[in-house]
Amino acid sequence: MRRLVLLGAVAAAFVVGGAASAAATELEDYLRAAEEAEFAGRQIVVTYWDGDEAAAGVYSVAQRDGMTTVEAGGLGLMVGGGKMEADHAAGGAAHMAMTEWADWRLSDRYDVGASEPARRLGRDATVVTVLEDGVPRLRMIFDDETGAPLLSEVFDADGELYRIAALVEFQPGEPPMARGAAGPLDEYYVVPRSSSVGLPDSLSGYWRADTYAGPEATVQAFYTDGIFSFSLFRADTRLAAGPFEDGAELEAAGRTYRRILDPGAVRVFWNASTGSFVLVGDLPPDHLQEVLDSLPTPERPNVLVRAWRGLFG
Amino acid sequence: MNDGHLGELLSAYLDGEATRVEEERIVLHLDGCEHCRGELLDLDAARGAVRSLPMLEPVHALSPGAVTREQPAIAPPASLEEARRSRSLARPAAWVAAAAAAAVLAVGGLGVMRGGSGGAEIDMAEMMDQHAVRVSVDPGLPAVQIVQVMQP
Repeated sequence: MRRLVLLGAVAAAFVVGGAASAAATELEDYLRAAEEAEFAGRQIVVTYWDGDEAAAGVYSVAQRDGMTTVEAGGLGLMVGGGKMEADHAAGGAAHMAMTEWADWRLSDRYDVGASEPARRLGRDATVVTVLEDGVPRLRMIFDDETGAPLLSEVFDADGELYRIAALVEFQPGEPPMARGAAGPLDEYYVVPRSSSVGLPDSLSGYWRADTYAGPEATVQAFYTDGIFSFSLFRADTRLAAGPFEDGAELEAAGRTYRRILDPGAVRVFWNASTGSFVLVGDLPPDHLQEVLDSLPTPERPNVLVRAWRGLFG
Repeated sequence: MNDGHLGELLSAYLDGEATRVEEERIVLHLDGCEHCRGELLDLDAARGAVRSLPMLEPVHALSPGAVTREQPAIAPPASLEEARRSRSLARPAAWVAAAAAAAVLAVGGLGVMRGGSGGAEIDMAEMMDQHAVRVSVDPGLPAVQIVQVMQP
């Protein structure tokens, strides 16, 4: 009898695990189809921070032959197949590629809800929701005809909207690509892998998928949970705050980080006793907080800083 | 106390200016607060650093026996008015020394005020480029994901 109960439990585990696996597979199918969709349009992206700060952008997007271009303010970026070409505000363009990366997988902290029919921009569409502990964290609407992502919403731990990316103009079909096709690999800087890390294998539900050599003697560790991701750049030496000088302060556990909010991501900088860190990614605020709590903390400001702040605020 | 910590009381404590009641409160609080213990150590270290700053050399000799061959001896003032003039000339030197010390402290404070000044520059553009490339190879919503690395 005991053996039957045990076998039944094992079978049930396979069924449950199988269902979760099927949901992840279905989600992956939608995401892969979104990558291959051919369309053009205009997209609005807005990220809200703590209810009183927002960063927004309007972008022209186009996608065909596995390449995606995004343009705004005279600058553009094209990615696909591990290759990227990006205009820099300071002038010039970067040609960068990666040839090795870990396979994608979905964290088991997520559940994928049943897909539901919807209408969006006057078109038949499908809604897919990803939940964490029963709370919706990501809601996407895919165009039924092309598979294009018409809407993407990210929610914080309280279920409040954190980021929205919505196509407000949509033209299905093969668009003209202003930048042309990607060139051969030898026209790109191939980012080398790095064996030097000094960073944990996992951080609060995110696993370290890949590690590369970063700029200025940094190491880039790419963490993902299958839905959100971030790159953590670590330097053994002290880094100047640079673009973070004018960033907002992010307080956590009595320590201060510097933060910049972009329409599609958050960037964080700090100097710790063990090195300097720059984090860039699309993870929601509660995930970000947990990740920062798991990393070396910022240096304590010395008494001169405290005196200065005490005098001048 | 600010936010449950000792704040400015620590400075008074180190200066010996805290009242007995305040001292007892401070000692009791320090016993259970790692944050304030750290602050106390920092404050004490900073005071030590300031005390160890090199003394600025006086413009004029302070004692009659210290006159060097190169410097003329300072004759005693012939009148009260002359004494007042010589004191007003001496004051700027002391004032300059104090201002210089304050400037050193201010520059040192400015140098770390932003919690990160000093050190190699961050190549933000290249960091975001590398992040974009890696993000793009995962299945997802590329038109959304790569927006995150558009140069502002």
